[in-house]
Parts: sequence; structure tokens; C-alpha cells
Amino acid sequence: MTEPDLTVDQQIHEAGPVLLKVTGELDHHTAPRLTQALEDVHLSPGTALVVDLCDLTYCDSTGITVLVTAYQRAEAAGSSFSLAGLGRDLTRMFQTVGLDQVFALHPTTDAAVAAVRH
Amino acid sequence: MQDTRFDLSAFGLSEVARCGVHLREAVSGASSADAAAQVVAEFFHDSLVDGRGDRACPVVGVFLSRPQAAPAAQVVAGPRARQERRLSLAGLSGAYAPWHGTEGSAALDLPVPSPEAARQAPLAYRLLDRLGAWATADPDGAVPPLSGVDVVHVSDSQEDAPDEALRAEGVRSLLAFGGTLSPGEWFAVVLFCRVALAADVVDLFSAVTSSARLALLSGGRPPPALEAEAVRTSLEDMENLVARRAAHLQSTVARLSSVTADLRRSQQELEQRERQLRDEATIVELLQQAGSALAAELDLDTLVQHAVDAATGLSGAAFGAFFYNVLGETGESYLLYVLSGVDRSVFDKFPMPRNTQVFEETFRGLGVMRSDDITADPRYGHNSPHHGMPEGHLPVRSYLAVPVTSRGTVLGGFFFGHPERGVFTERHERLVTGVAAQTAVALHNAQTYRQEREAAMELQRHLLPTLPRVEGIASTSRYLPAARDRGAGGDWVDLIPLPDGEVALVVGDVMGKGVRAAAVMGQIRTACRAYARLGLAPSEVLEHLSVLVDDIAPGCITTCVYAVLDPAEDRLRAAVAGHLPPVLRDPQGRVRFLDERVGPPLGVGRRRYPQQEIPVPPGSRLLLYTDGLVERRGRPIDDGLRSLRELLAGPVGEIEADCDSWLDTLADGQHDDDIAMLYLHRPEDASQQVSAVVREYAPVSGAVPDARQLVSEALHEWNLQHLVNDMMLIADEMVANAVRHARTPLRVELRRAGERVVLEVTDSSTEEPRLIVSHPGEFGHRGIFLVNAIATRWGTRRIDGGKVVWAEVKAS
Repeated sequence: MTEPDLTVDQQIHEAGPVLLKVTGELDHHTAPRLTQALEDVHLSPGTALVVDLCDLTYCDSTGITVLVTAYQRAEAAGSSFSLAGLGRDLTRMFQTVGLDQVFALHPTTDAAVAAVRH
Repeated sequence: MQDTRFDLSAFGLSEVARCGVHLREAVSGASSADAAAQVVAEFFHDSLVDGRGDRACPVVGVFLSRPQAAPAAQVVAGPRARQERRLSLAGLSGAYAPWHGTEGSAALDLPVPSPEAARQAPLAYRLLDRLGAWATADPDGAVPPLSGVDVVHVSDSQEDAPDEALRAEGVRSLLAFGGTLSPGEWFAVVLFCRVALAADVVDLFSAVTSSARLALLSGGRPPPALEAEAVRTSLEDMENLVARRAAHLQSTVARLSSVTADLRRSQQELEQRERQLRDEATIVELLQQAGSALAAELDLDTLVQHAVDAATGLSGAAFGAFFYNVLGETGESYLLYVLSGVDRSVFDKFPMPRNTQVFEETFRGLGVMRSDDITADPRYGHNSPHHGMPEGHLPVRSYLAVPVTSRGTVLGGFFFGHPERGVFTERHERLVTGVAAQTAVALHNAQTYRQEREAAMELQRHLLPTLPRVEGIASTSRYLPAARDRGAGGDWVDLIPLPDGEVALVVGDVMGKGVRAAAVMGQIRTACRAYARLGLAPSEVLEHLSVLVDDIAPGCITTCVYAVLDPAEDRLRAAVAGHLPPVLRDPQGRVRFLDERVGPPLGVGRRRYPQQEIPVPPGSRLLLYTDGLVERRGRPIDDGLRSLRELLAGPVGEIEADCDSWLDTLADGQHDDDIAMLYLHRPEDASQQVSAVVREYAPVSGAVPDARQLVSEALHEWNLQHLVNDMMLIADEMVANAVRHARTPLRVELRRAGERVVLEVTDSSTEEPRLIVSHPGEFGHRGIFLVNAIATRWGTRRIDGGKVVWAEVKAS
């Protein structure tokens, strides 16, 4: 069996937002790890969460569900939620399921952080 | 100035009283009884009006009847002489010719009683006659006793109605009232009315009579005693009148209120009855709806879900469950359940309910249990370990449970719960009991159907073993029993490799249903294989088979196509015995039916069958099928054949995917007859040969990345890197679905056929995936949505003990 291949690193960006960098493949198998990492982030009004997906090589519908859940939790908490660094394939998939209209998508984490500060 | 007008159409007690007052005021200056009579006539003439305020009485006459003033001559005649009486018109207001004398007014003055007087003043005469005004005069000259008053009313419809002249004036009724004026003197007032008087208004005039008497008396300086008596009489009349009115009113009110009460009561009864009837009708309608939906359902899983949804909806419960017994393959019974109104995850953690004192009633089929508060029921909470509802159970106070029984066997039970007390009524109970009865029948049907169908399928499986694979030819077959029919069909297909590299292709259909048709089919098929191996030509094979059918099943009509494909020569030799023609698609995509030479069906004696020879170059596709594929009730067979031709002429791909999508299009699960199909593809060259990788996985989440890796590696090897992303996502979603929902071991197969790549995931669940469109902000249900968006085609096919979900993607 292939070894599970997903890591999540949490940093606090110097400008304030919480930064989660997701590396590897996000699927039915690895999704629980990202779910846990997202739940561990403390969300409160005014805080911001940026998920960096530039090193995410793969995402399936389970992964999308995890991200939608996190987005809804952030909305409920009055916190901002954005995605950064989606590759071409991921962008296409997000468009397929119509999520490009839901998530704030940014090319880089810096762009995402800048957008949050505005 | 006071209003002295009185509306006869709205004449009441207060009008009577006011009328008396004004009447007396009017006559106050009158010097004699005659002068008073004229005033009284004018008063009524002027004061009485109709509803519009116009004069109501065009003519009013006041008559006095009194002893004749004795002329000197008659006095001489002696006291004992009979005293004469006269009736004279003392007051007249308005124009009425018969009463006007030639020498001025008040010409009428006649002796009474006399026919002349009765003719000239009929009403006044009749009135006074009735009161006894002249019958009483006796020889002693005694004063007749004071008598009461009277009122005579003649309306339009009566005999002595107003004459023509009066009618022209609009007079519609005549009213006369009068009585004793003073001892020995009488009076009568006659009104010619344009207003039709109501009976109660006429009655009021008895009191007006008293007022008129008073008025007339005051003109003649009456003795005080007489006047006092007249006033008293007037007051008494008024009092009597008021008393009568009051009594009448009271009785009217009493009658009204009793009528109202009756009305109200009967209205309430009507409403209640209507409610009951409506309720009854609603119940019948709801049950009918639920019943017809259930009766139409033969699939057990769908049936039980429909049943619990219908019953829960009708019960008003917060949630409902249906527990039902199922027989396993080895005959053991086990309990399953479906829920409505609540997610299955809420109950997943609890063990199956046991025969506790509460549940026993239902599971043993003893009767309906309805409780306003189950926690207060004496049977509740006696069984360990939970002593009531287990921890975390949805709160239940109101409880309703109805067993589902059929011929004494308990098939299952409905259970309904609600967190509040007293929710379930008798009506709910009746509704759910009705659904339970219908569910019992439907379950019984479904189980019988399933058993028979399984038996038929089992027979079919034994008779239709898996077809062998042949080098250089991609082939597949399908057998679908009729969607709504029980029993085995007589359809079969066969593919028989022959010694010299040729392949025999067979499709046949034994007419009829059930085990006999299946058994005949089995024999024919076996014989056909034997003849094939003898190397007989197609026409010879059919000839032999026809004789065989005559022998083993006389009269059992069978149609058949027998064809031999010779890949070396690129040709097909075929003979057709009354069967629908095979359809061929050449490499250029042209489609033709092989219907040039068709012989009669098998079983009509020995005869020669014509044989046709058709070129079948590489790249050709050939489909043999039975009539179930194209025949549909209500659709001409030509339409089905035309659709089939269009499908084959359209874009074709991998053969399994072709078969499934054609079946979807043509049959769509609605086929009335069995369907058998045999489909072949001769690939054009080696690169288009079918290549495949197959791997089996346990239903664990690790299968998802493993399957992705398998797909990625195979596509790299086939030089189809550009499909890696799409196929990986498809594999991921389909495998994840199997892992999550089927939870059975699964098999992944990736096949390449020319320009197409097909991925198949096989699992042991018969539950089919459905396309659900989620809104962007929702979570979940995106797997099949993604597959649907990416794949060229996708679909599901049922197989023995499970299903295959497949998706096809074009390589170019």
C-alpha cells in the first residue's frame, strides 16, 4: 500500500493571518488529517485563515468537502478564509464544481494576505 | 313644526300614539261633531303617507250614525213610534264621486238599515252592522250598551275590492274602523289606501279607532263622564295593543331563538359530519396514494423506504422506522431497518432492538401500541441493560407501533416516535394501520417476485455460462430478464470458438416464459454447440435445430441466428431462422441489417435455410440481439430498429460501455421482454487491441491512492499521459464511493480499446450511485458529479451479486 502523502504546516504570517500550508495529495484517505489541522485553528471575528495549496498535487471531492466545511466554519465565526496558489488542474476542478465562485482564490499567499489586510 | 305625517308602510306603536295626540290637537277648535268629523277626515287624508312620503289615502270618509232628529210631526206621532236612524257622511276629504251629492259636500245621508245605505257605503255599513249599530234599537228607546271597536280591511284580492275608479287612483285596499261614539251613536272612518296594509298594521288601527272616537267626541262638548270613559277606553285599547304586541314580540323572539338554536345545532352537526366525511375521504385518498405507490414497487429496498416514508408522513411523527425480516440465501432470517425523518447515522450506534416488553407487542404481531407517553407505560424500562431508551437515543414520549403481518407471519413493524406527549391520535393510528396492511401485501408481492425472479435468474446463469474470450476479437454479452416479469425467459446467446480459428456466433429466443422455455432453450443451446463443433454450415445447423425443436418441444416456436465469423477471410456466413437481423457496422461507420435472406422460425419441420455471406473487415462491429432490445409496448418495432441503427451509426467506443449505454437508451429498465445481446468488435490493428490492468482492493481508504497510482502507471505505459489527471480523479471518486458506501471488496479494471479508456469498479453492493448536483456552498455529493463532468460516458450495470460502475474517456 502506498504511504499516505499529506502534510499540513501551520504558521502565523507576520501580517497576522494564520497560514496553513498543505503539501501532497488530498483525498478520501488523507482528508482526516487536513480536517484535524483546520479544526485546530482558532477562529474568531476578525481573524484570517489562508490555506496555501501551491504544493497540493492532488485533490478529490473529499478534499473539496473538507475545504467547504472549513469555509463554512470560518464564515460562522466571522473570520476570513481564502485559498492561495492553486495549480492549473485544481483550478479547473474548482471551476467544474462551481467553487471558484465561493472561495476567495489567490495566486500566492502574499496576494491572499494582502487581500485580507484590505 | 312637528312632523304629523305617518308612513303606513312602517306604521308602529309609536305612530299610533303620536297619531292620537295630533288628532286631538287637530280637532281642538271644532265646534260640533260634524265639524270634528270633517277635521278627522282631513287629518287622515293629509297625514297618512306611503313609503315615499306621498299621500297614502286619496279618499277619507267619516260616517256618523245617529237617531234621526225628530221633526215636530213625528214627535206628535207619539213616543212609541219606531225611532229612525240615519247614516250620514259627516266628513269627506278627497274626491270620490259616489259620495258627493249634487248640492255640495257630504250629500250622503241615508236611513239605516237599508239596502241603499249598504250599497252606497258598503264598508262603513258592514262595519257598523257587525258592531250591531242598528239591530239594537228597541221600542223602549233604551240606549244600546257601549260596544267595542272594530276594523274591517279589504285588500285587493278580496271580493269587494276597490272599484274601477278607485283602482285608477292607485287604491289597493280599503280600511274601515269605528265603533260606539256615545250611547246610541256610532261612527266609522273609511280609508281608501294606495298602500297594501300588513295584518299587524290593520291590528294597530283598533287603537287608532279609540283616538278617533276621542277626537270626534271632543267636537260635540260631551258630558265629562263620557269623555273620561272614552279616554279610559283609549288608554285600555292602547295598553291592550301594547300587551298584544309585546306578547307577539316575545313569542316571535322565542320562536326565533329556538329556530336559531335549531339552525345552529344542525349547522354544527352538518359541519361535524362534513369534517368527518372530509377526514374519511382524506384518509382513503392518502392510503390509496400510499397503496398504489407500494403496490407498484417490487424492489424490496425501494419498497421498504417508500413504506416508511409514507407511514411517517401520515403519522405526524418526528421520525419513523420500519424493521423487517429478510430471508438470507441459506434460509436464515435477519432483521433490517429503514428510517424516515432522521439520518441513519443517528441509529447506527445502537444494537438492533430486542424483544423487550415494549417491542414484543409489535415484533410478535400482537397488536397496535399507541401511547401518549411511552416512558409512563407499565411495560417500559424493565429490560437490561438500558432499562428504557439507550443513552443518546432521540427523545421519545409519544409512541406508536404497528406490526406488519401477512397470513399470520410477522413481516416487520412500524415504529414512530415524537419528543412531545400525546401527538398520535386515533386518526394517525388508522392511517398507519392502513399503510401497514398495504405494506404487508406489497412485501409479500416483492418477496414472491424476488424468489421467482432469483430462481429464474439462477436457471439462466446455469444455462448461460460466461462466454470465452477469443484472440483478435473483443466481445461481450448481456442478458437482462424482463423488467416487470417473473420467470426465466428463453433468450440465449453463445460464442463458440471453432477449431480452425473461426468463431460461431449464436442468438436465439424460445417463445414463452418460465422454466419450460428455459429448459428448451438449454437443450437447443447444447445441441447447437454440438452441431457447431461438427463444423456444419450455418444453414445446416439451423436445419438440424429445426428438426430437434420439432422433436423435443413440438409447437414451441424458436427464432435463431447462427453465424460463423472467419477472421482470416474477413467474412461472415450467417443464416437466420425468423429472428431479428444482426446489425453490422463497417470500419467506415456504415450500418446495415443482415436481413436479406430470412428463413422461417425453428420447429416448423425440416427445411432448407438460406445462408448469406457478408464481408467483415477489421474495424467492423457486429451486434446480435433478441427482440426485447427493440420491442416495447406502445412503440412500433420499426422505431426500435431505427433507434438501434442510429445508435450504431453514432459514436461508438469501448464495447462494454457501448452495450450499457445502448441498453440505457433502448430499454431504460422498462423492457417488457428478456434482452440478450452479443456484441463483437474486430480491432483494426495491434495498437487497438484491448489491453487491461486489473487489481482488487479491500474496502479501506488506502485503496483510493493505490487505485490512483495503478491508473497513473498504466496510462504512462500506454503512452496516454494526457489522460492521467482525469482518469486519476475518476478512479479516486469511484473507488472512494465503493469504499464509503458499498464497503465490500472491490475490483478495479482499466481497459484501453483504441481511442477509448474505460475504468470499471466492481463491488458487491447493488445500490447504484446517483448524480447529485450540490450547490457550491454545500459539502458532499460531488464525487459522481465530478465523474459526470469529466467522463465521456459513465454508467452502472448490475451483475451477479453486485454492480459495475464504469466511466469512459476518449484518448484523442
